[in-house]
Amino acid sequence: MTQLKERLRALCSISTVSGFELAQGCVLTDEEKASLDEIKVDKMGNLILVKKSKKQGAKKLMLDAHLDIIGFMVTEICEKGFLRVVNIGGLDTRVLPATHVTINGKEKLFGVITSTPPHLRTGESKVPKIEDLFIDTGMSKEKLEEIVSIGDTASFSPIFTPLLNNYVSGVGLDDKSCACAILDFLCSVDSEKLEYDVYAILSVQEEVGRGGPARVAFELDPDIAIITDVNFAKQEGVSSEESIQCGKGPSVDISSLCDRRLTKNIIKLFKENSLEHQIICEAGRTGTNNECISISAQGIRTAVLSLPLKSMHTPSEVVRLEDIKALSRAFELIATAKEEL
Amino acid sequence: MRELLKLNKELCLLFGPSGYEDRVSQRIKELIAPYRLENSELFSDKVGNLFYHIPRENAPRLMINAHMDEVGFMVTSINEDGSLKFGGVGGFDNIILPSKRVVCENGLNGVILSKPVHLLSKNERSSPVEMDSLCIDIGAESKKEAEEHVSIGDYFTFDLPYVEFGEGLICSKALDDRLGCAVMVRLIMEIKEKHLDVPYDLYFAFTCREELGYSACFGASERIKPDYGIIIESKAVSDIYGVDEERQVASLGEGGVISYADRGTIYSRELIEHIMALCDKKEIKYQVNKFVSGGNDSANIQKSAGGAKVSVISSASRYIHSSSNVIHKNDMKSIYQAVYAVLTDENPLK
Repeated sequence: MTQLKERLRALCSISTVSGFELAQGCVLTDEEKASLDEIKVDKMGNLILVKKSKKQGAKKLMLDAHLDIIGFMVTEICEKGFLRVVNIGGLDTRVLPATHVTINGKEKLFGVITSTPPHLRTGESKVPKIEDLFIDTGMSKEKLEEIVSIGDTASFSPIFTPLLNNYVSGVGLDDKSCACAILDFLCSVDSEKLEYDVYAILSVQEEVGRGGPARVAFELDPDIAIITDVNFAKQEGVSSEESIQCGKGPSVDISSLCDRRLTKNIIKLFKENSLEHQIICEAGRTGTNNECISISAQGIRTAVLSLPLKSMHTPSEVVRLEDIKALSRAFELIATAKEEL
Repeated sequence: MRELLKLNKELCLLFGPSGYEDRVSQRIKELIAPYRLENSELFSDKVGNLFYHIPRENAPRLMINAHMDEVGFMVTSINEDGSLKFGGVGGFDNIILPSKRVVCENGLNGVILSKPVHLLSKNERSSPVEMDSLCIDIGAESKKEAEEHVSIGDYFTFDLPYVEFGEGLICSKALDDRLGCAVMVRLIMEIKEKHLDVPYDLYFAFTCREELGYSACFGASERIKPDYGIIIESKAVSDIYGVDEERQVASLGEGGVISYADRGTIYSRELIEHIMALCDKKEIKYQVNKFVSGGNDSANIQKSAGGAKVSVISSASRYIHSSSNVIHKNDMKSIYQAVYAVLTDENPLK
């Protein structure tokens, strides 16, 4: 688990705000690069990792996890070094005050999100709106303008905290937990055993709903595609009906927008190989990249696997490493399955 | 200045919510011990206040005060799923709680969970966060497992890094009021190093439980019975872009904040003017509080025993009572210089 934890920590240490996924440098370690046959970046910024089967005429398996995280974009540099920002992706302004952020300017800057004490607040609003909040950089406007420009991004400072039972808390675990599972799978699987050529996409712009991997899927036209994202884990205030549980493995999402046969075959495969998993039903949309991938090309057979995550879209998302490991194992089972899925 | 900053960082990072000041007190004792003067006293009282006394006969008694405690949390119950319910130790604006990292007195980390924004009802989205809807996750999977690590009554505090940033700013938990403790410890060191002859019967009081409003400082000043009290504190300000000028209270970097009045105290005009005159003479930066708000241990010292003349010199602090108080280094330095000027005064108070 230590290796997995360090892989996740490294992934989460890089700010990959939607639309700027690779702007802060490469997210792959040397070990990860060495395990791959090919690494490509398409025009939108999707990172395409290829690991081929040794078999002739192997079919194509696409794996998708989005690399982008929620964050901010600077819209105004104000007096006394405060930055006005807008949200990129779905942010809960109720969790923002007094949070540490990193601003991706010409150099990286520390900032803290403002919070006005109740007795000094004016106006009626009890919940701050994004336009009421600023990033405090502690610099003069003039100095700040030399480093930060309008349009620069910022994200929560990457604080990574191990908890009990191999739980970890951090920033951007949505969806880097799944990306981590993909990388773990690619590094550990023996290509001799692969029944499919694997095309793993660390995709862009999921948090802003722009269908980042749709073009990749179109060009690749895979035989099957597995979309992986995080899902709500049971926690205080969240009902069992709308959540899955941490520590019980990945969930297979049953949805009208996924391929029914593929989903069933995956569940069967997991059962036969005693892989602990959960089932969640999404009668309609899955709220993942599934929606854009399934309608790409001439239609693609898709299934969705999710990892349970607590406190989604906050600076302290919580995930369990065993669940990530189980998802990695799930990929291995699928990619090495002899029977047709 | 470098020594003062180093002390400040070390003290801020110590664990010490109200009622659990032991570690802070112990460390301050260790820091002071090598700098004790021969005739001095260094002792704690029965409630945990720490005193350093440099006696002087036939001189007015001056009490310099800072509180050791910080805001924190106490575990009030343990949920079946292993998460922890908590109460606030000290006053909080609940808005700063969700998703912050915290640490238990036993060193175990946790995070304050908050319900994902996607699942909030319309009503929840427009309502402020309530403390009783939050819980701390330590990674335990059941009540039984959590109980192996944490008990009801255990303390937590914020646990985010101490960061120096921008042009001279510091962001940390517990700056309220460890910065005051750091200033006092550094003064004590300097008295020894520079053989200062302080014209007062001088007490430094590091006190407990300020954040709860029923401060142990009251007892401390009953013991000391000072003629004068100078309180070194942290003052909530909001010199933030977009906030009305008059509600900003004071500004970071403009020097120690001297108040004429706050919600707890009307300060001694005589003492204030004495300090201001000293600062003017020595060209030490200070500013005057522009909004009557907040309160501190001055109220206790003023009303104790036979009464005392009090003044406060505060460090303007943004986002006070959060994981991320923000102050200016230069203000800490100005406060240090102002109190130093009082202690080396050629025309002391009578």
